[in-house]
Amino acid sequence: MSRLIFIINFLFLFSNVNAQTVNDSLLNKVIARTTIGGYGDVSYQRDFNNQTATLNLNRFVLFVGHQFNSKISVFTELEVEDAKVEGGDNGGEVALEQAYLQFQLNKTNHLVAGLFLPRIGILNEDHLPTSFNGVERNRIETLIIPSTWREIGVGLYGNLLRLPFNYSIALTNGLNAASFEHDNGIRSGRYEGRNASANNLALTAALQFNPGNIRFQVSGYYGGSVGLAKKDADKINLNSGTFGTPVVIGEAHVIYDYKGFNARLLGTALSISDAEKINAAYGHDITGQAVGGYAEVGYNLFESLKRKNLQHQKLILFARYEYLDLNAGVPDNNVKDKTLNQQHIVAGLNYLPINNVTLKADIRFVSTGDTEQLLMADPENEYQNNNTFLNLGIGFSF
Amino acid sequence: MFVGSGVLVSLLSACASLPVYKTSIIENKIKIPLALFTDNNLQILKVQNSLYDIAVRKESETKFMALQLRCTHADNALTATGKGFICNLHGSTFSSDGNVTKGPAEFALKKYRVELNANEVLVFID
Repeated sequence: MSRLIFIINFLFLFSNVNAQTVNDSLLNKVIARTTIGGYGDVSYQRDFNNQTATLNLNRFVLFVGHQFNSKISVFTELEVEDAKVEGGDNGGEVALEQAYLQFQLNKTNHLVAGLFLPRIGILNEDHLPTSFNGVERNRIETLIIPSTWREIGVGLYGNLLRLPFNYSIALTNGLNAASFEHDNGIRSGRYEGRNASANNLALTAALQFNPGNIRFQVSGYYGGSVGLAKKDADKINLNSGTFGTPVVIGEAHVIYDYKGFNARLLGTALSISDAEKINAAYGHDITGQAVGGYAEVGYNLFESLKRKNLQHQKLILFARYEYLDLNAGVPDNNVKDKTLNQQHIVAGLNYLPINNVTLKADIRFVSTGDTEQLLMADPENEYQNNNTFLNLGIGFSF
Repeated sequence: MFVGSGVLVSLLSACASLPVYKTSIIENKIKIPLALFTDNNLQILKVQNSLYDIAVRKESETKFMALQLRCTHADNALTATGKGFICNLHGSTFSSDGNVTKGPAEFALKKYRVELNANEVLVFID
């Protein structure tokens, strides 16, 4: 027994030493290294219509990466949402946000394999609270492109040698149409690494052009959403197979960043051509099409100040306009839900005393279309088209 | 549409090519012809047998700066963008002189010692 403990101790000691071995040289002799990072955010929200307020630790994510050698690395992110998960209680989630191996193929290309976030939109890859303006993530990249959207698959990432173009293409598991919901698009239909169907797959690709102060990106997703065996899919009149009952998403954005001024414009569209069949099969009322976009401008008020102690701080004043219609094209047998046609105007301040810490405050004005009596859960309770939210938040990344 | 095409062509021609120079380390040094900096103040060195590129920037006629293009957050290789460098792993960005412009990276890029020797720029690898 003591011998076993000795061996375990020896292996532990050896693995620790190995994990901390670093050679700063460019050469590939020894570069095994473990890195720890993470991010998190806490928010307060006041709902003026309901006269209520909430406080929540939205997420804490721990990143652990390890570089085995110059060619192979592993990256993982473990997330706890809403501070805790307790048996029997609603809310809270512990989930792996990423867990993938990265193989460096050459100077400009690498392959990833495992659970990763495909490049689509801005937020899906770049979602640290210190990276975006506003306490909340924008709704376009939450409901139409469901950040943080990770699936299991393989992806090729790279850039051109002599031109500032980046590209990515990935093959992942598809979605689960049985879990699509009326008011959040495909968000609930993601597998996120848990017992995903490999009968239906998805292809995503993105092309970025980054010549200087401006960045352009176009990206797309095409994936099957029915992983049932053919005989089972036939019974409910759905197409299974690799790309059966497809979901298509297109996205394009541009980001301009110059001397403290930042502007971004993003547009996206979602199409589920067999939405009517999905609704008939599962008794759902999902949409066939959704569209959305936002425009945001921000300026770092400290940019032009010469005071030395403010040079590494940022105070960003920003405003964002969001438009989305999650029921842009409903099947013939469904009623269009105009409350899912929404406009949000968000304005506020982000203060970053250092690049890794942010204190945020903003106000969000919401305006939606009218509700249909048919869709009202409680007709006695009058629907309010407009609402205002006050948000305060803190966030960090390291 | 034509205006958009014009803007794109203009942007493409503005960054017609990233100045890339393939080289290798000999006796802990990299030698770069000074002439490469005649028309361009920046060279991206693709170093044989190394995971990371090196950016060499001409600051004046006699002063050069060399940066290791390795993210100081999680050691990911950086990509040149035209106005600096970006890490596609967590989104950190660095200015062309190696300072962090967006986290989560906290530290500036590693700099190498650079010397000018006749018609060559010498980068000393630690």
